Amino acid sequence: MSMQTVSRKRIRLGATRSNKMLLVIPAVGLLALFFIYPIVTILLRSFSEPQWGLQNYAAFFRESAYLGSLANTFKIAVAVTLITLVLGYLVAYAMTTVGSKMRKFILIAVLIPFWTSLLVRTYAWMVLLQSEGIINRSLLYLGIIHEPLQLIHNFTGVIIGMVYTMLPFMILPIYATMASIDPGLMRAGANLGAPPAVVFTRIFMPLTLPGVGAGSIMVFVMTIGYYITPALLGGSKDTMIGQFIAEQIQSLLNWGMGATAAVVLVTTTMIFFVFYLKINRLERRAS
Amino acid sequence: MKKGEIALTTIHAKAKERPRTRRSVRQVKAGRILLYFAVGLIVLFLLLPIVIIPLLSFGSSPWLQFPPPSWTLKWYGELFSSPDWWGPIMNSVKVGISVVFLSQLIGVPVSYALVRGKFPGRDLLNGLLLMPMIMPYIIYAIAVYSLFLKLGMNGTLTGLVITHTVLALPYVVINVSNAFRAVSPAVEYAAASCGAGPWQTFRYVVLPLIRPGVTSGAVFAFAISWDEVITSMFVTDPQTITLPVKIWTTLRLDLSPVIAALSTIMIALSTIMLVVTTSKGSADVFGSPSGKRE
Amino acid sequence: MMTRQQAEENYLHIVNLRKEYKDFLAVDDVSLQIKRGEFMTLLGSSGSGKSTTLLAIAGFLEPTSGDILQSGQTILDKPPHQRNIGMVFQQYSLFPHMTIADNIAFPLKMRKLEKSEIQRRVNDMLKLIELDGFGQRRPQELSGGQQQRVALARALVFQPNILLMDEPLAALDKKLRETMQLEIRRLHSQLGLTIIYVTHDQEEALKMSDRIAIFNKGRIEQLGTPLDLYDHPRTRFVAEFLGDSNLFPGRVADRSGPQTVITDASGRTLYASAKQDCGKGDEVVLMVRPEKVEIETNRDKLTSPNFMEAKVVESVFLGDNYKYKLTSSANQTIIVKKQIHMVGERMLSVGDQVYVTWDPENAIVLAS
Repeated sequence: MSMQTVSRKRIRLGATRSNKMLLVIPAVGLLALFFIYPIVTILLRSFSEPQWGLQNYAAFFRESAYLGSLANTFKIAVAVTLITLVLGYLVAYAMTTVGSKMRKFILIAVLIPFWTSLLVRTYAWMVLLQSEGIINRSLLYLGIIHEPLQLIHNFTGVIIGMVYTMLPFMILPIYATMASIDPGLMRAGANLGAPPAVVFTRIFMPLTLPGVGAGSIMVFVMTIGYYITPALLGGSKDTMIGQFIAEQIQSLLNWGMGATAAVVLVTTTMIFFVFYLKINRLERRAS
Repeated sequence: MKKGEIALTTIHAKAKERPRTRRSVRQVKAGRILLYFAVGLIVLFLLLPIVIIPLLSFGSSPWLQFPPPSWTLKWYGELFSSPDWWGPIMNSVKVGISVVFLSQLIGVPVSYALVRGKFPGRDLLNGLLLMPMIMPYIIYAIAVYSLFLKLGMNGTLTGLVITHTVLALPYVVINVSNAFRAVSPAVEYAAASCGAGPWQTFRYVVLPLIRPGVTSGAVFAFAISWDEVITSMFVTDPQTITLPVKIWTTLRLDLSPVIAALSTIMIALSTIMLVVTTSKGSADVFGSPSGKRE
Repeated sequence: MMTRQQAEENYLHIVNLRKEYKDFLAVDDVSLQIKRGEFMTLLGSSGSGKSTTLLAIAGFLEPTSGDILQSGQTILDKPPHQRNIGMVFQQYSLFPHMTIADNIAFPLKMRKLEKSEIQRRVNDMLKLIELDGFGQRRPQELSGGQQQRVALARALVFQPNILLMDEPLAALDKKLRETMQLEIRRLHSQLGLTIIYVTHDQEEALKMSDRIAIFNKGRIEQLGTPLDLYDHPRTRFVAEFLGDSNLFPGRVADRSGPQTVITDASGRTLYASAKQDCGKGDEVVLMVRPEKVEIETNRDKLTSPNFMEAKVVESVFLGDNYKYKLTSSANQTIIVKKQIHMVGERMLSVGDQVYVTWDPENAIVLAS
């Protein structure tokens, strides 16, 4: 009797297992066939084209024209990260000090561009920054400049466009961290005799570091892989690695070199992403 | 004498202390004003494009002068009357809707397995599902382009739908699995003890409870597809060109005010989506669709 | 084939149930027979295996081995939704998107009953739990006690064979818990329910159950009626878990006489009745319940051979009784509970020197 029960039980267990497999199979199948497989093959092409070997990597790290786009990418990513960090920290901090209505307004101001099509935003900046655009016209009108500034198709253009795009990614995690800080800690600091500046730099700022870390890595890692914004707002001298990859494959049909740059980009992205996960986990443990 | 000295110094200390605190209060106030001024400028920076483009879309200047010389609706007329724009719009709508359904069909079951299941490799699966969100889109674009070259799928709407579904899947999984997590397993137990089988439990108890997550997942999926440029640029042809690709190719030539009209409509749409997902309360604002990646 | 009588006596039979996890034995060879119409409580602290046993009966987890029989037939081959067992959970677990009436109707809809029949039964249930008129409300609009009553109605409406209750009152405050205890008792006798009730609250278990199974480390430590368990605990664990107890470690000195004689750690001789489960020389503890200890100020009035000098060190007023803590001359702690019979009755004060004494019949010898 009890033997029978056990064997019947086994059958039912097996059935529920295979049910669970059915839940997972479509997703795994889709990603295996149309994500993992093509990405692995494309990355392998950096070793196999035009023939097997490391010649593509040798060329990539030797040719200053190739290496230049990598250096450019890092230069832009660092600048964008630093600028968004300063601006984002200010906004996030202001959000913790203002009233709830004002906070909601700022949050909406942050979220609307976040939700607006990237192309629309980039287009908007192309319009605003052109030599006849509002920015130049206003500055001319105010007499700050006497000749239109070149704000687009150069380094300035990329930075403005990227900072605009990335700012929400900096503001939101920093604000989340700040909002989770117990205000009692600051009151305790003040009560123990620390002047406001000391409370801010010694108590408040260190507690916001996880958010700063998460936001900075996120912005950095996303910026290095960007394509649209630099392609439309940048100049030919300021190409980033994404543009380099597209150009190698679309225009030059140089799959080997495109794939090599792709490997460099993927590797960098993954390394920083692992850092990001570590920081995030630390923060979650802390809260 | 000594006593007097001590007394004197304490008085001095007190006297000094008062103005210092007052000064520091004043400094804090000045700092606040400076902070709010700076943040005001940053908010202006954030809102400027969103506000100016709709204004320019009603302006008559083909070079998008500001302030516009006169007001007109002709760019909207051009947008809606030109087949150049209608084709891509329809393609984008078709693809977007297909992506919503396909990504839910695939994403909801796997989210359930992730939340409730205990099986080896669950963390791995979780990582795999989020990968498309992390991978730079340009790399995915060339990878899928090369695969579709082999399969002869470039220029097909099917290929486009598959590509966008891959990109949308992480957002569906995040939203839906958060919703699943909010449903207590005890509620499912309760349903079973009431005599509901697994399917009935899902249909009558779990699904109604995760509906907000499913809704925002669907909004995200549509938004991802609707806004996707890079992969679409590689895998579309003139027949299957989507709206973002059309904008992209147009932008490389000139800053047509027609795009301003289109942008205005898209800003309105995305504002509606923002309202829908945040009011449902389960949207993951950190994974915004258009912001997250390109 | 079982006779009808046997089937009633052995309505639900748990046979050598085991549940192993990777590094943890949750249920270790538990066997239990539950009568039809019985109120059986599984009592234990968290991790004792009581909830695991309950979940196995409900079908929410697969036992590693063993069997669960209902009227002689295994139910392990049935998924939870086909077992026809009602269940009430600690967190109420009402369906938040349905009205109260829809919640109660849910099991009937799953059983595809006719609309009019569903309507009728739901109304009956609402009356039974004294919530008629609440049918169209949502669970969130109800208090915790009302929600738990709805959960109860939902588990009863389909006339299940057995009702399982997993700490159903743990989320309620004390007053409400007491009302609900009475309510559940009322439903039990009114409807002739077979209830398996899981709790960690010993007072609740004593109050409500026909029989209690005390769980400890995955095993049933002792099974019996509340009175039986309280008066005749078989192990030190049961004695300490159920009610308060005074424990005096010692060694059995003599088993031959009309009384069991024990020498305690301080060398004092203590007496218990003859019917004890121990042998001469055993290391034991002598257990006396606090309310069975008498306090005497006059040495001459002592009648029992069990007595010791003690000093009151703490006195706590509990409304209907006093609880004293005393220290004996051998530095043993003794807890004594005394009913208050008269208003303003003057009891002992801290520092008073008294004698504590108890009848040998009230002392129980347990293996230490």
